[in-house]
Amino acid sequence: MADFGHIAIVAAFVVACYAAIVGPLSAHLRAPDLLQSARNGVYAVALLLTLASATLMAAFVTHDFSIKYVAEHSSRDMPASLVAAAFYSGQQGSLLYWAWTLSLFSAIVMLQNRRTARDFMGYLIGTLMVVAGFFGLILGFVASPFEKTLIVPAEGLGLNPLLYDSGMLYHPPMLLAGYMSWTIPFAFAVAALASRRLDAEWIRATRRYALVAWAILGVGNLLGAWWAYRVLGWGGYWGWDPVENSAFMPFLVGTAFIHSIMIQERRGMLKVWNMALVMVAFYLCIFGTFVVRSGVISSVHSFAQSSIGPYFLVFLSAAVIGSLALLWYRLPYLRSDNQLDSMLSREASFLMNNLLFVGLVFAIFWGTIFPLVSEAVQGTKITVGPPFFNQVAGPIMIGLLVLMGIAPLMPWRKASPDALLRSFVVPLGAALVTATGLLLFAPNGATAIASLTACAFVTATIAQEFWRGSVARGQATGEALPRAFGSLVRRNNRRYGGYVVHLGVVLMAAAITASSMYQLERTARLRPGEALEIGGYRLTYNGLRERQEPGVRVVEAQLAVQSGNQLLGAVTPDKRFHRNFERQPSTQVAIRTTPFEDLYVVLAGWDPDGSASFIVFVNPLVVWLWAGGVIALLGTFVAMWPAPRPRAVTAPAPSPAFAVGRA
Amino acid sequence: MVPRGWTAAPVAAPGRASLLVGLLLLLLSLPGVAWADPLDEEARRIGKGLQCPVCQGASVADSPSDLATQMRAQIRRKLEQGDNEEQIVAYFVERYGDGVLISPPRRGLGLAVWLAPIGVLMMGAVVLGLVLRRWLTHRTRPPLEAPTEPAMNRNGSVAVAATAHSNGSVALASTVHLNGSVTSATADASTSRVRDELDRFRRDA
Repeated sequence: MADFGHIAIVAAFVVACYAAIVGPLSAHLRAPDLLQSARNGVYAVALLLTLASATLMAAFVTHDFSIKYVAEHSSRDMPASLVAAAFYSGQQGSLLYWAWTLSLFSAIVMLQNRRTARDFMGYLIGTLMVVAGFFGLILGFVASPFEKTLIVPAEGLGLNPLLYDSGMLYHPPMLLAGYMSWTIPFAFAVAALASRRLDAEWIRATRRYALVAWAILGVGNLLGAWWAYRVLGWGGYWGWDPVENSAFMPFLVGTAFIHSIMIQERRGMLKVWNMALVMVAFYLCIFGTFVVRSGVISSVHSFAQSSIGPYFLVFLSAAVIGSLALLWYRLPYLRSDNQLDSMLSREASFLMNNLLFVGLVFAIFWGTIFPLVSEAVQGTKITVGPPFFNQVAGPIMIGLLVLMGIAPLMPWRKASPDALLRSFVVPLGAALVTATGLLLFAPNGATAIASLTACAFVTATIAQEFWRGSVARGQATGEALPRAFGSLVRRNNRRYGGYVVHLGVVLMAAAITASSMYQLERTARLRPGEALEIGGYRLTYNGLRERQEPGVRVVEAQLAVQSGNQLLGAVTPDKRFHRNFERQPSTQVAIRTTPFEDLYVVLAGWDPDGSASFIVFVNPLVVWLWAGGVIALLGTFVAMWPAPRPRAVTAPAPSPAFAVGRA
Repeated sequence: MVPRGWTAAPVAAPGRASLLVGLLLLLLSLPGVAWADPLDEEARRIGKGLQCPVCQGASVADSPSDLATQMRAQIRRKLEQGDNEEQIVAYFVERYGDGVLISPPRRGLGLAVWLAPIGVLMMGAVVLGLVLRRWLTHRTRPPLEAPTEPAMNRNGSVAVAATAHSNGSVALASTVHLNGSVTSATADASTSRVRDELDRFRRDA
C-alpha cells in the first residue's frame, strides 16, 4: 500500500513537471494540441494525488502501522473522526493535503475556463503546475508520507494531545486550504502578465477566485481562534503566536487586494499595485506553510522540525524573483487608464485602506521575524510577545474600522462636500452617543472607548446605507420597503454583500475589544468546599474526580456556579493525560456562554491534599466574535452570488482581446 | 515539561473518607470565600510580562512547565521579601538576558522593533501623499495610451490601431499580414514608438 501511494506521488510529480513545461510552451508555440495535453496533465495530477491521499487515508483507517507517518500520528483507540483527521496532523500529511487540494482546485479552474484564451491558459497551467510540482518533489523525495517503519509496531504512538479536539476536524484543513487557494489568483496574475492579457477580464476572473481564497483563509483563522480559546486555557483566542501571525498576514494582504481591485475594475487604476498585492499574498501563504511546518520560528504549532526548510526557502525566493521580474518586464502594459480626481473620493479612501493594511502587515511581519533578526545581529533572541502586537496593531486596526465607516459614504471620483456632510450626520451622532455612554458607565481606557465608538460609527453608516438604498428603490419602483430592500440587495449583491461582511467585522471588533479590555481574571487555590467570586458569579469547588477513557486519563474538577442565590449549574474543567504523552497534559476549559459574557474556568493544578488551583476569567461578549464571523461569511456568499446579468448567461461576443486564440 | 503537581500527586480518587472530609470542610467554611491573595495576583501580573525561557510562546504566568513553575515561586518569594516589580524583572533579565522580557526593551536593538512599524507607516503615508499630489496636479494632461493588443483576423493578419499622444498625436491604423507586409490606412508613423509597436506585432505574427 505504501509503495502504491509513493508511486502515485512520484507520478504526479512527473506529470506536473510535464504540464509545467508544456503549458507555457503551447502558449509560446501557439499549439492547441500541446495545450490540451497540458490540460490533461492537470487532470492527471488531480487524479494521482487523489489516489495518493485515498491511500494514506485507507492506511489510517486500517491502522497500517507499517507506514511510519500512520504509526507516529494515530493509534487504534482513537475515535474514528480523529483517525481520519490525523491525516493532516503532521508535516508530510499536511503537505500532501495542500498539494491534493491544489490539484483539485486546478482541475476545477480548468473546467471553469474552457473558453479562456489559449496562451493565457498555457501560462496559467504552467504556474499552477510549478507549484504542484514543488510539493510533489517534497512529498516524493524529501518528506514522504509513505515512508515505512523498520519494525511494524503493534500500536501507534497516537496523536499529539494538543490536537486531540474536535477543532482538529475543521481548523487545519480550512487553513491549509486557505493557504493553498491563494495560488489560484497568483497563477492568474502571472498568466496575465506572461500573456500580456492585462485587460479587465483577468481582474474579473481573479476577483472571484481571490474572494474564495480570502473567505477560506479567513474562516481558517477564525476556527483557529475558536480552538485556541477552548483548549489553550489562558483566557484568550489570539496569542500573536508566529504561526497565527503567518496565517493572518496573507489574509490582511488579501483583504487589501479585494478592496483595491475594485479601483482597477471601476477606474483602471493601480494595476501594478494590485499585481504586487496578489503576489505578496501568495508569498506569504508559502511563507506561512513554511513557518507552520518547519519549526524555524518557535511556536505552539511546531509539532515537527525537519529538513524541508531550505527547499521552501529556495522555492519562495525563486517565486519572488521570477514573478517580480515578470512584473518589472511588463510595467509598460500596466499604465493607469485614469487619474485621481479628488482626495474626497472612494479611490482615495481605498488608497488609505491599502496603506493601513500594508502597514499592519509590515508591523506583524517585523514582530514575527524579529527574534531571528536579533539572533543574527547580536546573538541573543529578543522576545516579541503579545503586548507589542496589541500596542502596534491595535491603533492601526481602529484606523481601519473608522475608514470602514467613511469609505462607503465616499462616491467614486469626487464627492460634493455638502452631500458628504449630510451623510455623516447620523453616523457621527451615533458615535457621539456611544462615546458619551462609555465615558459615563464603562470608562476602561482610551483604546476601548475609541474602538467601540468606531464600531458604533460604522454600524450607523451601514444601517443608513441600507435604509437610503431601500427607500430610494421603493420610490423608484413603487415596491414596499421590505421588498425594495430585498431587490436592492439582490441587484447590487456585491455592494450590499460587502456591507454585510463589514457588519460581521464590526461585531467581531466589538467582541474583541470587550473581551480583552473588560476581561476579569482571578486565580485561586481552593480546598473542597471553598468558593471564589468573580464578576457576580460564585464558584464552589466540590472536589476532583478521575476517570479513564480509551487512551486518556481524565482528571476533572467539579464546581457549582451560582449567581446571587440562584444555582446556575455545574462546570467541570479538566486535564487530560494521553497515553504516551503523560508529561504533556492537555486542558479542557469549562466555558459557560451567555449572550453577554463567557465564564471561563481553567483547572491549573492540584495538590495531594485535594485542593486545586483555578484560573477563572469572565470574558464579555465573546460569543459575538464567532457570530460576527458567521455573518461575515454569509455576506461573502451574498457578494459572490452570481449577479442576475443576462450577459453572463449567453456571452455571445467574447471580448476580442481575451477569448480569441489563434486558430 | 512536567506540570506542577500532576506526577507528584496522582489524584487519589476521592473515596468515602475524603468525601466526608470535604463535606465537613464545606460545613465549616460555608461563608468562607477564598479571596485571592493579593501577592498571588501581583506575582501573576509580573509573570505575564516574562517569557517562559523553555516554552514556545507562553508567559511565565501561563506556562505549565517546570521552569515557569519555579519562576512563579521565585517571583512570589521575592515579593514576600519586599522586592518590587522592577527589581524582580531586573533579576530575571540578569539571569536569562533580554529574551526573558515578553516585550522587547525600549533601548538598543529592541527599540528597532518598536520604531520600524511606525517609520514604515509614516513613510508609506508620505509616499502616498506625494503620489496623490502628483496625480491631482498632473490630472489635466491626456494619458498615454497603453500599447494596444492586436485583434486577430481569421486569415491570420493582424489589425492594429495604435494611438500615441506624445509630441502631438499620431494615429495609426494598419494591417500586418503574415508575410510581413504592412498596409496602412493612415501611416503617420514618424515616431519610433509606433515603429516599435509594429515590429513587435510583426515578430508575434
